[in-house]
Amino acid sequence: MIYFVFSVLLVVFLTFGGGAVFIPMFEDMFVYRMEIFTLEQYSQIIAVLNAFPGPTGGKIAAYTGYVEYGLVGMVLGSLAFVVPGIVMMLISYELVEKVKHSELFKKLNLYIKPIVMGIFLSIVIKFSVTSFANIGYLETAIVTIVSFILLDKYKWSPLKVITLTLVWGIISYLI
Amino acid sequence: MIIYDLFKSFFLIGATGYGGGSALAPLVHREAVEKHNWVTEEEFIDIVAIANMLPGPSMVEMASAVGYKKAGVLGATVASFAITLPIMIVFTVFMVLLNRYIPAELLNAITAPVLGTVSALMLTMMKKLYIQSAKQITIPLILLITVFSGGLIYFFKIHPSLVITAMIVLVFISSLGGKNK
Repeated sequence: MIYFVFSVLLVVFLTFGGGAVFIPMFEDMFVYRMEIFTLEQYSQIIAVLNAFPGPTGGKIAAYTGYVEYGLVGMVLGSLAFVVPGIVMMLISYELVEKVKHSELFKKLNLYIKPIVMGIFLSIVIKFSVTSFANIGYLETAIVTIVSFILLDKYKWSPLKVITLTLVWGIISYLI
Repeated sequence: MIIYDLFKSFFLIGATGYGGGSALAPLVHREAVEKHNWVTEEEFIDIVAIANMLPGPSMVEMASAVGYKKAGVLGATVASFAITLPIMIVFTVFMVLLNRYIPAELLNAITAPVLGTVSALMLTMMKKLYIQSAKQITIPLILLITVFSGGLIYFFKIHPSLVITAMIVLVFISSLGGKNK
């Protein structure tokens, strides 16, 4: 069980940025190194993983913990996934507080916004390409544009727009 | 009360946030900056940048920074678990009890269009950042940095943490040069 907790910790410390990057990292750990799942079993997890919101890697860690050690495993897997992020962020936060008022940091802050925009741009491209493959160009364009107008012009809350899109998903599946 | 508000906001973000990692940043922005004023715009961007530089789950890191600023270590812990734990439990329960009855194709067909909405969320966030940034630096420079860093990350698979590190080094070198002049 300690080995399992360490395996999750190791993956968390080796995966930068989070999100979908966790999928191949946990595959390497749980399928090839620890042999908890066969590749087929792991593929079944990945097949439904993105149909749920929330943390990509966390869902894998919690479920794997349950498979191996029941409820205790689920709790340990979850803790091993969440706690390192908190600790690392709090240390970084305190470090940033120390340099926050330096000239260099202020200058850096001018350029960090476009870089974050660049990170977001790469996510938009990645999701659009995935969406083209899933539902085609036309539906992807319509969903993206309609969502953008509702969010930006009509100031709908993200919760409302996401719910609407899920309802649309059900309707388009039925027809 | 702040602890309850943190829990409520980050639970909501975790329960509606599709796409994982930094894709949840617009939702965190809406709750933490626009709705509750827990962190300023500047602080939020720094938090997103730091979360991208650190290893580990970005959404946990974003949640803990916001929670820490408002309510210390307890706030960080509550926000981080609120954004992750409920959905991790729901997912585990689904896998154990329901996965064999509900075909993956059905779930994926229903949730497939949601990526378009997440893209739209990212675009609205980019628009806000663009408006803020245009007050500080020139528009061609914004577009250059955005397209260049986005291209490096997507097409050349350069990790965001490296792009940010490169920018820190560039700014550091240019400020050294400035002092010499």
